[in-house]
Amino acid sequence: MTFMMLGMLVPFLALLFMGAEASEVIVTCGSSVKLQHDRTKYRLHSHEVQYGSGSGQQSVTGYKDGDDSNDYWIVHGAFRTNCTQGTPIESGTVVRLRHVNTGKWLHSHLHRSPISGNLEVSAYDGGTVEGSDSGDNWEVNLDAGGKWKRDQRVRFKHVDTQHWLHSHDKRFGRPIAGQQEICAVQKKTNDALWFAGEGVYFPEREKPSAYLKTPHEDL
Amino acid sequence: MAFSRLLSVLFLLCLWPALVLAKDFYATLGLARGATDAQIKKAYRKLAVQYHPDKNKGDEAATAKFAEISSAYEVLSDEKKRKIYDRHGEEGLKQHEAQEGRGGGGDPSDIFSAFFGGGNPFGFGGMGGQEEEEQEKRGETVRTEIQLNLQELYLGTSLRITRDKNVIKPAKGTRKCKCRAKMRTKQIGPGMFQQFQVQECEECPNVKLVRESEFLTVDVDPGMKDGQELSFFEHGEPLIDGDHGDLKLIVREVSVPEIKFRRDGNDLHYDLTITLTEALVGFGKAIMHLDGRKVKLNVGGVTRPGDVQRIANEGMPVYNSAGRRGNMFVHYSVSFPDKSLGADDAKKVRDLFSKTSFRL
Repeated sequence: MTFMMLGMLVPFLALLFMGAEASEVIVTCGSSVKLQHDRTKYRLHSHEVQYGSGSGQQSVTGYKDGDDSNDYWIVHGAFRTNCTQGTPIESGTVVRLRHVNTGKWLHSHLHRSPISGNLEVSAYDGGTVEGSDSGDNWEVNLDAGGKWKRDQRVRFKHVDTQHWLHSHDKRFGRPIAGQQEICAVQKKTNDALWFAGEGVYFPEREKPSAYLKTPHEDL
Repeated sequence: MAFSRLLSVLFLLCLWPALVLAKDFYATLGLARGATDAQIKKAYRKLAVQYHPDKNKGDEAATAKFAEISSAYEVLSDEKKRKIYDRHGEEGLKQHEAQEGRGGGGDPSDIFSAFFGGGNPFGFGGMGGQEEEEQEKRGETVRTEIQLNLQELYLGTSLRITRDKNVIKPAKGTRKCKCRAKMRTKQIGPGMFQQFQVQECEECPNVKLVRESEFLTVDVDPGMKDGQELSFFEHGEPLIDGDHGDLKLIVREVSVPEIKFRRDGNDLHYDLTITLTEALVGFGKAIMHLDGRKVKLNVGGVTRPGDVQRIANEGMPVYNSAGRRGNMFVHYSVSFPDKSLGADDAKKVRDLFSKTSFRL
């Protein structure tokens, strides 16, 4: 009887464990990730090329190939908040995304995007604290709720304008030929779906020891 | 003169193995713990060529690094030694070598020639490596921050991060590769020539990028400092027709509300407020250290606001120097009674201090 139960349990546990290995990596604050557009698989990208229209700020585009370090974005807490590295991100949490190589923040505002005339998405560092402002705030939106996981479909809603981070098949010419337009649109569509793919994911961490809560005492 | 310099060099050479043993061999080669033999070989080949004394004449840091790389490779390339190192660390290895009756730390140059089969990896020029060396192209370096609080930096910690990256795999068909720009000249009329550039490529088997995910162990040693880099060999971006770049984690010290210490280099600073009474007659207190020990303060006599007490060797561990520590500094402020004294008490205090001489 016991043997039978064990026999049934082992494959079941193995399945559970494998599942955990394959998909249970969560996206946390301080992790550096590439965000891929779900339908076109282009990656959210920035570089030292300014928009020739709209705000004239640093452009944000979609990039096809998977070998460019300009596709990495670090997940930070909302403007004026600190989010410790390793903190999981629940659906509904407001985050900021900082472009690793240029240090600028993923930003949106009422300027028109260059190709489709939606809201422009730029990389900006002209804000008040560490070059940031509330225009860098994006709400993480997961259809299923819960913690944001690697490879899970996710949407980002720009808090100030309530528009969704969006991409589509509209591509630029020179000097960034073949790169895809990124913009923010009011309608929540499947073109607002992204997922975190390649990256450096930091695990949840232990908090400082409880004994440090009493930093000193009388003898 | 020259002889004494030679002596001091020899002396330094003797010291190297000891210094080297205090390091993580995997980290030295920029590898994760589970690295394969092929990865170890590859990492050693790259780094050894890069830091070889012949290529870095007069650069002592490079020579030291070369020795470090060699000792790491000596251990990790030997199945038996590596097992002992993985299980028991450097101490276990030392004991093992003592039992075997020989010291560790072979000559870095011997390890190098054994690896390269005695040949010269810098080409056959013979004129001090003037020959142009074929530099393998590499993918981009990926840099990101690893945030650590003061307790993690004091005690040291080990983190298991997930590195998800694209790697190059064979694919069906062929592709153009090893493309070079060539100049061609064409006659376009009598006595008229046009020069133009063409791309000439070869056909190579096709490749594709495939995502691969693995765990990397990040070992944070006690005393690491803001800005220090932890390097992971070939965990950066891929490059078709080249090698992966590296992943570099940059240490960022972050403050958390739970930790009241401030760090300045290897020293720790702590602000302590005592009462006026304690300031006048002395006190006994204990500061909770980052490792949970209580650091006792027994002060007799008068403590003035702004006084700084130095507690030797209670600061941060000094990175890579076992046993050495900075100091702790306690900065005092004094709290006063929250309401005025009554007439009787005021008289008592006045009488008490009538003969006292005061100073700032």
